Amino acid sequence: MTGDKKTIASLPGFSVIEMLVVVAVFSFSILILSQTYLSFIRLSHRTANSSAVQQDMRFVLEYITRMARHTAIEYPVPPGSLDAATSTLVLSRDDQPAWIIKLSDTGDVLCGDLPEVKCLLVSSDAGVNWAPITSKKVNVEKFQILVRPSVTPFVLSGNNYVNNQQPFVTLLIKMTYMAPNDREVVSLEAQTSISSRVYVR
Amino acid sequence: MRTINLAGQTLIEMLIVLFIIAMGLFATVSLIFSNVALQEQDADQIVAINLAREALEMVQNKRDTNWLLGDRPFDYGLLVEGAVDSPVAVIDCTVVPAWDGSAIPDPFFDPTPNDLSQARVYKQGVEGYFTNVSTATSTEYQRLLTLAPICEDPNNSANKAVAEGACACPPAGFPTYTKRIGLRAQADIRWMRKNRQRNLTIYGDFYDWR
Repeated sequence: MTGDKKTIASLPGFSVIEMLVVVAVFSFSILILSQTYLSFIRLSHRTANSSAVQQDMRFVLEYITRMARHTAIEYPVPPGSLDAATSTLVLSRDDQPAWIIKLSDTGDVLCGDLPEVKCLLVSSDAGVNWAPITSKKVNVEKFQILVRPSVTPFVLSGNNYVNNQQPFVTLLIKMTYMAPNDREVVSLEAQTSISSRVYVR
Repeated sequence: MRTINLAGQTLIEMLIVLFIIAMGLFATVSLIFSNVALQEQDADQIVAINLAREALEMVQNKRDTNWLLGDRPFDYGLLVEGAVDSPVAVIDCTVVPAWDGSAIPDPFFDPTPNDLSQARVYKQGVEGYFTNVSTATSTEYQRLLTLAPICEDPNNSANKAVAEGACACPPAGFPTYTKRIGLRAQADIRWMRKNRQRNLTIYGDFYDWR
């Protein structure tokens, strides 16, 4: 028996204290590592979402700017006037049907699968067919169009022009990337204005 | 006693390895963070460039409206003093758009601000339009327009110059560049991001060539 005890005692091994310390240090470092890993993953998602929103914002602003610059704004016959601020822009083209951009209803089928998303829809055949121009997970929270003057300066009403103001369009857009995690949601809001290059008078 | 020749690393070797790993990690992490910072800067730049473009479009709209009105010079309300709809007292040729975010704005300009620090951009009204008129929430951005006439030699139309820093062409009688043929509008945007100042400048030339 005495010999057995000696053998056990001389076996190489760790004490309970040593094991506890090792486990504590190990789990602590794993905890830190996983937190760091997760936060980097979140950061990379955020960056990707942000770049998706920026891409959509750039495209939409440049697209509308280009169209509004070189295409006449469709006005009702004077003295009829446009709504002061809307979320639809109608441009009339001489040889083709009107070009329209509008904000969709919430959860429009064309916008993708997410139920709470609004997107921007474009029609180049006066409203018969519509196509989305924003990405599936990008929610267009705000799409505000302001056209002035509200009555066309290019068509006579009686013997006079109602106003002498070159058409000017202001557009304000706010887009949000719909991510499941709140910390990955990215928003961007921008505004620009375009003075029409269509000179009639 | 038998000595066992245990294979292992020396302290120096371990230090070198740790140093190399640390360098690699540092490079990766700093790359990630600079990527994030640039992304934020990019987002700001989208807003800034569109605000700048808007200011230039407003100048163009003012010129075109002056043309439509027909009874005034092309730069009425911009560089010319004594306008009815815009009492421009030109002191240093710096203006901001005087649109207050309402649905029916007039295209005129406010000459009061003299530099960017007096030309804050605000968000206005229910819709939250960006404007230079100070009655609502302020943003990080400042926007100022600087106007300079483009002057021509009346005897030789090949000679033109931008009268930078001046609000008018030299008076008649000077040898050259006395005829005002256009104006250069420069839009400056300044904003702060993480305590660092960013700038953006664009300009456009608007001629009286109808």
